Amino acid sequence: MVFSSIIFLFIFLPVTLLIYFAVPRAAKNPVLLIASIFFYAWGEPVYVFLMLFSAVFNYFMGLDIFDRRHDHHLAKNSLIFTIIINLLMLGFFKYYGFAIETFNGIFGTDFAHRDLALPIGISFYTFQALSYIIDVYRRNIDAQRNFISFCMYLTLFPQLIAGPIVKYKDIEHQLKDRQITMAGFGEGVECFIKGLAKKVLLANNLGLLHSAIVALPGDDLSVLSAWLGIIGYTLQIYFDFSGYSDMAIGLGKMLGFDYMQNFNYPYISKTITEFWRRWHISLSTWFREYLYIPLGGNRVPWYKHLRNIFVVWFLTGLWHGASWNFVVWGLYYAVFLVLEKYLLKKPLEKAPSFVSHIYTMLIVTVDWVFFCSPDLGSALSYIGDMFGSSGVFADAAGLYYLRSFFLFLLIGGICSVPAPQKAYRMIAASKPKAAIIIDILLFILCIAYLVYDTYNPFLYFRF
Amino acid sequence: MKIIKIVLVAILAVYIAFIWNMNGVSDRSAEAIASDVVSKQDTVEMVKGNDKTLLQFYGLAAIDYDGYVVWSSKKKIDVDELLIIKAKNKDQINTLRDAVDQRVKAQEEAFDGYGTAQMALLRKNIVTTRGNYLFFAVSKKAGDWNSLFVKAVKK
Amino acid sequence: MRRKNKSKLHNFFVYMTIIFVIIIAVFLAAIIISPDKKYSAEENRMLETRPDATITSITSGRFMNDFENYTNDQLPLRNMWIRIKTTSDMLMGKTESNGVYRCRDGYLMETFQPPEKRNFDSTMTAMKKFSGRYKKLKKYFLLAPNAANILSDKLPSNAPAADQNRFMDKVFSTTGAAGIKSIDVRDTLRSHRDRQLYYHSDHHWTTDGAWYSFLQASKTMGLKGSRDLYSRLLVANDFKGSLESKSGYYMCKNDDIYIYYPKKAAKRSVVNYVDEQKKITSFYKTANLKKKDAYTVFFNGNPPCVKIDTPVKTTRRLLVFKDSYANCFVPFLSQYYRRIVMVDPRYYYSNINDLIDSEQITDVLFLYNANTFSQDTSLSTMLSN
Repeated sequence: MVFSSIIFLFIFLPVTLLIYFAVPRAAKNPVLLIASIFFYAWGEPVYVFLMLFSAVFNYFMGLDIFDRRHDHHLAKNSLIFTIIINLLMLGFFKYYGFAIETFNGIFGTDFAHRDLALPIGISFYTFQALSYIIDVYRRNIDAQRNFISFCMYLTLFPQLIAGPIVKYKDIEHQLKDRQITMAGFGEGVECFIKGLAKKVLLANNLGLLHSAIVALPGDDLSVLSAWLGIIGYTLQIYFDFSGYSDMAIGLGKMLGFDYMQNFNYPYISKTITEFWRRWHISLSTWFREYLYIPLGGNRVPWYKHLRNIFVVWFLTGLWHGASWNFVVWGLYYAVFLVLEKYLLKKPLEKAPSFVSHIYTMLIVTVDWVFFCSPDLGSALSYIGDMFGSSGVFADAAGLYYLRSFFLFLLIGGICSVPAPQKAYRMIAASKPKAAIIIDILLFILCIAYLVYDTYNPFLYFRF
Repeated sequence: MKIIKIVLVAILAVYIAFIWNMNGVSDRSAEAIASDVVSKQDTVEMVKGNDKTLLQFYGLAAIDYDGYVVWSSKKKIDVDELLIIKAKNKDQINTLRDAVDQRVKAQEEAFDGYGTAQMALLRKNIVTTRGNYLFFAVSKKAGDWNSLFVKAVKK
Repeated sequence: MRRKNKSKLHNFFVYMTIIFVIIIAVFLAAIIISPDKKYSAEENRMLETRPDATITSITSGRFMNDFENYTNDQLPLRNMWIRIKTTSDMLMGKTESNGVYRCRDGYLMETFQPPEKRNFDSTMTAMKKFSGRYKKLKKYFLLAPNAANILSDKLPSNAPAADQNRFMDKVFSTTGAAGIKSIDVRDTLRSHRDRQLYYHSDHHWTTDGAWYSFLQASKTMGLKGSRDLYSRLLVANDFKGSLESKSGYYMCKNDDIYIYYPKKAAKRSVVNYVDEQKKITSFYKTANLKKKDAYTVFFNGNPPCVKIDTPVKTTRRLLVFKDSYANCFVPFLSQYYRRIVMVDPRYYYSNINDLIDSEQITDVLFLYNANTFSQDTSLSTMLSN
């Protein structure tokens, strides 16, 4: 089930909220657990057992590591065993096919592999489980003895499928003590509707621009078309991902949970370093805390520092998908992060703002080409088109799409900076009813677009 | 705790084996699979269909798929039918399922009020998908054919 | 000042809670209470009904998929939501929806989709083989251009459109070389652009467009006799067609539908709907003018096989392989053939060769519009046994 669907908005959500708020405090966690399992099973009737296994397994292992906390050696064994099993699950279901293909590619073999469907959300819940396990081992937190509470943490439907990656230690207390107030709920609603609008009104439509450009016939794109396509994608992925995170955070708030922000206007960054403090914050902090720092971070000789960066960004790329494009996408950032740290830091600080903004957005936009292309070859070809390899600056198709999507692009650009949200909050504070009307209008538009997606006219009907 | 660990790992292993098995599909042609499912004796009262049959019964264009075998009853009064079709990709499976559902509905409408035996047989139709293959049968033998099909696609 | 603002945000959040809870509660109630609708006239399809929950349908995920479709289809005020969306798109400057472009002068048009090579080769081969098999028959191919071709100046500027003309040229040269005479009406139609040749909101040509094409075709087909056998009659002025449904742009111009009604000098035909076992003396089902798809006034839609007998003194008997463009065209041919057999390859499953023999066919006409023909796979299925 996805948040941006009629069935979630008007059936699952109202029913779940109704039951959740009706039952006494003691029953709220079990209710959420059952609702979350139902939510997941709706999309994955077979793989739901894998997710439940992960919850049960990590629950017991958390207890085991905690019980062994006084014997460092034994605890470490248990930790390693747990990490291996978790990564085995993730690796098998997500990367096995990719691994075989890579092996075939290198050694010229021809092992066939079965096409397994990817269990939804496995990257997210595995990383959440690992954050718990590692923090128990590090004695940052006590193991959660309550089976229901732990399982609820892992399976909680707001963040189960698409994040943010909620570290156990961040919400440990909220499992038992969370405040549910009308204002808190309303704040969650505001966040949720904002996220829904970002996804349905902006992301989906800007995605149409990108897919239209990609579908243009012929091998070469004019410079205008190529840029329109990738700018469309740049905006699409931001609104899609941050929209979904907003919906997750909003839903969490409605239920009484406080999650940390996952996106902080990444496209206003002046450096790549800053960009990664604003983009997919929960993932980059996860890697920082559980991989980069254990490896030594930057408190090691320069060659080990480079190794650490390489490993972390290789895996960050790979986390996004089982394909070499994603690895290239990740390593590309590693290169720029290193450059910024050792070479570009001073020049960027001294340069005027608009130069740093353009520099950052240029780097980011070009890297999205690797992220969204089917393979490296087409990515490079597309980048070539962006910089004039076709020889044509603006063609008819480019002009057509510029005109058709101009307003969407403009609004997308404006919504990528903090100003609209600030303005909206000012209106909400001074004239709340006006802000409510804005939200209602946005919500109505979202419903309209969602319904249209299911519009399916049939032209040749035989009686 | 040790026991719990062993049990859990065992469960995971079984689960993975199960998923592995469910997804284990061969790459043989629909014809090859069909030959493992139906015997000569089964099809004595049946006739093998062609592209037109596929279009007529299910509204499917043969050229869109990766091979098929369709058998139907010789006599118009019988509803025995078998379709084994191989899709070109997983996305087509839903279309195939819809097509087969439509066929059952259309047949039920045609025989409604005329033949209770046919209606009963139609209601017991079996539809199974494995990988890119879809199996559809209306017959007393549908269950047996289904088991043979499930075995045949693993080879 | 700050505290006042903070408490005002507090008010705002409380209002949000109330409004949101009311909205989703109302929707939930509306979905549960409202009775299930079975059919959508706008979408021309049956709407999804509540699916059955069985073990296989749940483990395969089909139940969930169907249930979501069911919820979507049964959402109250579905058409209103569609209208809101398409209006919003228009305000945002988009000119295309679901493959249909909003063009100048109130026209909606679909652009041409090039065929898949496999399908195209298969169709061309089947037609060539057919022609080779029936050398003695007079064979013709009228491939009609679509609105986006003849009225291409009305498309939004720079709208990306594949080249229908190149496709049509290729088809004509291939089939022409195989012995099927081409009837290429593009120039004829272009010369009559001052008339309304296509409907504003429907993908079909108007009866006038069909008439001008007929005048040209009659020369190629060697049809002897008068053409002045019809009076042009207006039968509807509120036609809104398939493209309006397809796009969701529910705010187009109404169109007129004309029928060319036979004058006294014309011989009356008897139309035999073979599958439905009905014989009537008119080509037109005027009751359909009240339906959403009023184009079905011509031959009541797309019957699989229709036989038209007209007591004219000739031994010529015509077989027509067609799509719906032929529906308003074939009546013009009735005065020149003793019998016309009209067959829709999408729905006709009997043996063509038997039909040709038993009906003593002398002429064969393929009549398609280029958009449909490019995506067709049933003609080749029908022609190749």
